[in-house]
Amino acid sequence: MEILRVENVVKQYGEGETAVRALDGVSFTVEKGEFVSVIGPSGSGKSTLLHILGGVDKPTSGKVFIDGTDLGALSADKLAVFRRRQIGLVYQFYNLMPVLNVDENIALPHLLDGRKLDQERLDSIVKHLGLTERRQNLPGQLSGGQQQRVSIGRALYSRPAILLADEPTGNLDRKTGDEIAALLKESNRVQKQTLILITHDERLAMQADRVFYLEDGRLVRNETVRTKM
Amino acid sequence: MKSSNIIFQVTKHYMKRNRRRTVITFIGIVFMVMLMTCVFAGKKTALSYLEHVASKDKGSWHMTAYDLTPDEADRIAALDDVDYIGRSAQLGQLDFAQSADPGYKPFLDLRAYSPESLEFFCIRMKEGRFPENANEVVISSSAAEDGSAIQIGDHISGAFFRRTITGINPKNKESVFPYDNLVLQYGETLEVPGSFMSYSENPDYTEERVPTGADADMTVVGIMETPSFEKKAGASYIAICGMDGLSPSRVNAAIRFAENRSVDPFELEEQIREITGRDTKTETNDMLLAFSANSSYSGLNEMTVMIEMFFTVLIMAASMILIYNVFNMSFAERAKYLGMLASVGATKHQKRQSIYYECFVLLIPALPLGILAGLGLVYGAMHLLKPGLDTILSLTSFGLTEGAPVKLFADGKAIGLVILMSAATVMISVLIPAYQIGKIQPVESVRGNAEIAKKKNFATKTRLLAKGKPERLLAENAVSRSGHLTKGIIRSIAVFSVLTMVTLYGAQAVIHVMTAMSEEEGWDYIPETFDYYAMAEDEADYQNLSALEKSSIVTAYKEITDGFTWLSSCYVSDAYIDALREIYLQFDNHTEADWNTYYEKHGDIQQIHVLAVDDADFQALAKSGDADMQIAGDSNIPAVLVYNEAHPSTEYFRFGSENHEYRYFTVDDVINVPKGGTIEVKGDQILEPGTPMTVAGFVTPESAKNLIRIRTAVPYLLLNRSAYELLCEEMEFYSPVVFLAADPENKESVAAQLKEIKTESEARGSDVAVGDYSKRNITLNIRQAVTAIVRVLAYSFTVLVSMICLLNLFNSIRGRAAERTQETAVLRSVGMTDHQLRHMHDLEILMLTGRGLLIAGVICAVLFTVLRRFINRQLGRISLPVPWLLMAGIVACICATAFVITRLCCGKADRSDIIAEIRRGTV
Repeated sequence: MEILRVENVVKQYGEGETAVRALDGVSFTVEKGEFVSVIGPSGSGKSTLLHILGGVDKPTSGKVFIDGTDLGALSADKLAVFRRRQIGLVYQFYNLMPVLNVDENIALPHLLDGRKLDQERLDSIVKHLGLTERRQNLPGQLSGGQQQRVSIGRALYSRPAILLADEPTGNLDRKTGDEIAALLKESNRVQKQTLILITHDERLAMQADRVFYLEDGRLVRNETVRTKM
Repeated sequence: MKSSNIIFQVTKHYMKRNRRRTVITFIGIVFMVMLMTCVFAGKKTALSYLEHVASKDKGSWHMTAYDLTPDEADRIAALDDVDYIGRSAQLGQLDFAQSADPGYKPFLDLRAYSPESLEFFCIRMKEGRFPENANEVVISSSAAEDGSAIQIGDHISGAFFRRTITGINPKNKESVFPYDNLVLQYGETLEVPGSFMSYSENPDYTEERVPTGADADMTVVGIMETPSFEKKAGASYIAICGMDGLSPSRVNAAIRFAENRSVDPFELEEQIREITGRDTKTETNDMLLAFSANSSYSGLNEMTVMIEMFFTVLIMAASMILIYNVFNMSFAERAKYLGMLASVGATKHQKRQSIYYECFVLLIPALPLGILAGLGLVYGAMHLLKPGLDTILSLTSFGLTEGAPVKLFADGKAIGLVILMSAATVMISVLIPAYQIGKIQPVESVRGNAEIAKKKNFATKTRLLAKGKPERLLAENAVSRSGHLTKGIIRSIAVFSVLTMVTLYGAQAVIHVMTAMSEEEGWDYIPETFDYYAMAEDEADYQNLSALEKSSIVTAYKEITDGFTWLSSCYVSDAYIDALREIYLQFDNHTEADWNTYYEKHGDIQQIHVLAVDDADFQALAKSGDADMQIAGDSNIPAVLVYNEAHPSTEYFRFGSENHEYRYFTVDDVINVPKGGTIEVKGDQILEPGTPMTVAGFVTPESAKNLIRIRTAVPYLLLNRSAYELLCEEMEFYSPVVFLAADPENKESVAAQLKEIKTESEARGSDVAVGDYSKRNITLNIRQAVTAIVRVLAYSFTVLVSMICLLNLFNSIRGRAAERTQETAVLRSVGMTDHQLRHMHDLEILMLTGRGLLIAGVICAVLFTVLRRFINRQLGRISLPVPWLLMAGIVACICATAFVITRLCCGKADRSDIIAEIRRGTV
């Protein structure tokens, strides 16, 4: 079942001679429960693509459908609501709220949706992420790996249709990066969570079901991984 | 290259990189210098203006020494503390044959003035020229205005004399003339001043003339504007001749203090006494000296210095918080780059140097800019205020329509002080940020963890999580768990509230004290139902006026009569007697023993004021006050209402020739007779026993405010008609004041009738005063005018202080919003809507404002208490009401301002690009 459809997405910065095309006619689809990694050199348009998929940026032209909803047709407020319900975003630099502790950060998108806290789910996520001992700490009191776990917890708590991760291990040491990657893979494998991962780490990319290769804003390869590492 | 230079270079680099922050810091420092300039140059400018205004009262002299030999005057002129003197001589009085009112104003009070004295006493010619020698004289224009047949070229001649009075009534132990500071005992003869009223026939004293032995033969060369010291009720018109050609044996010296010296009036008085070798009478021009912080009333001196210090401290505090906040806002970034420097070997001292370098690099260009801006602001503000100030001055009895010129004062001393105080303020402002930066460990700085809370755990707000209130959760946590930026807003709100309220309270206290000092004794009938008022001067006037009661065109008629009389001290409260004792101790170095002796001799009776109203007003006053209506309602019972507030002061009670400290008291319980008790009012000082009357109850200024306003230093009793009639047999009341109302169509007719009465009264030699009821209080005395001006300046200053606080608050909120754009972007990226963001910001600012106001409340309570105690210690017991309503207004304004600024700043931040903000470094 198709969960994501990208149709001829173009993202252009500037105009005329100084115009730069960050994305140049990108089209693809992703099935529900699929794990896709996006790789490519710096400046190839990976993060731009992820932000457009996450509804935090808008394409110059083209369309993005998530679970059948055209993101471009949504108003700002409706898009915000859509983001908190259907999209989980994990950033390289965690981007947690510095004034909220672990529990509060994880539950934030759910609360923003006006829903009451599901304590059981929160407990289970915190436990699963190995953060039981740090639940009452602020982000500044956590290590980078712990912060990224919180970020993953926040993205997963609302059971989004799609989980987008922008170089989630890029700022971490190898061991911690592996742990984070394992968590993401596990969410994909066990909970059938659709996952789109941007990474420079080829080893991690090859663990996906499919790998998209971006170059100069174009999707130059869309390969199914035969053998997962 | 020295390592310190590297620190400076890096700091400079970051200053350039963070232009916006650097510009804000710079503006903050410029603002501070500007305000410092306003305090020091503004104070001088405002004081010189006020000095000019105050000189319109008594003149521009600082001190006058009386009854000197010419040689003594020369020696005084040579003193270091003296700039120059003006000589004058009292030549005596002359019969004024041309007087239009010989029964009331039969004399000329002739004085000889040197040119300096003419300048000192603000003598201005209306016609003709100044007198150049002893044979030339100028006469007060009041003589001409009163109808005297005097003109330039006329000759004045005759023998000079002085007047004396002798007590002849054996029943009257003492006759008191409060306006002339005279107490006449039975059988005693006293010389009276030229302004003394002339009662040639009365039962208490006789008046005699004592020739001086000199004769006058002078030509009138001019008509001068009525001098401010000419008393309207006095028996003489002022006339002034030149000093040339005169060799008086005794002269008076009006002294102007040396400008470059801090002259102590008491020390100068001592020096004068040393020169003369006797207890020479001196007088100081207190209002003028008060504005040079140099009055003989030390209360006024301290008040002036206190005002200056008070506002300087407020400006410094406001500026410090402004600069401190600006530096604090950049704490995280600064900690990072200074931490990096520390990691390569920069010491704590070098890290601090970076902060000092930044602020002083900004201070150097800010100084000239701020000083110029400050001078411009002072000049502009004074010009802006001038029309208002001129209006106030035009309401004085002098009608100073041209006001006083605004002259900008910016001497080297003032500018030096601005530079010194600004540097000190900047230094103090950055001490804490520099100390905090110095403490940051390199590793914390490099990791960006410098601001991490020391607390280990932060309990999850399950209540809010369970209720699903994310905006409140975020707002509460942002307020309770944040660092420098959030504290900066709380601090800004607290400082805004404290400074504005304390400035306002201080300004109100100053105004209250000045108003108390400037208010004149008397009463005012409040209801706005009348059109005209009239004050009879004799029985015929009264008969003419009272005939109007029966006139068909007069719709309302009311009489109020007042008078001075006496009361046995046993009816007066201890609080009132205590106040009198403290006042007594201020004079002539009196001791407690002196007071006991005085009180034993004179303390058995007290002077009181009585005011007779009609029974309707009496009952209305009783009803609004705390009175027994059974007594008040029965017009057959001679009843009184006690006005339960008096303000005795050293201004009113002069228990000697010289007082050192100004003292002013508010006594709330003046009479110690209970409601329903009997009080015996004496018709005079010796009548035993007094006339018994029943105390119907008590009224306060608040309860009586809709009917009558009374300003009194002595106990005040309000009489009903029955009590008035009873007391009429024992004492003489002043002629009644009559209030009249008419239908709109008959108003002009009533005015015409009043005019007729006045014309008839004048023809008879009397002078009934008639006037428009709505304009009865429009004339101000010079003190009231100065108080009004101080009020304008004090409120302007409050606005100015509020402006720095506003800038500070704006900076704090804007700074926090700018630093939180990434947080906002994250919130938006996880699905927070604009509406939720706004709600969160609103809740946040509400909580921050609440905290700030709570802190401000505590600080204000402490500062108000300190200020109140200080003023009461300096000036006596003065009630200083807290302006609750104004303060509530300020709180509302601060809340509204904080909301508006938040909406402005956060709204802008909320609209920033999510992606750009998320990519911007770590949170």
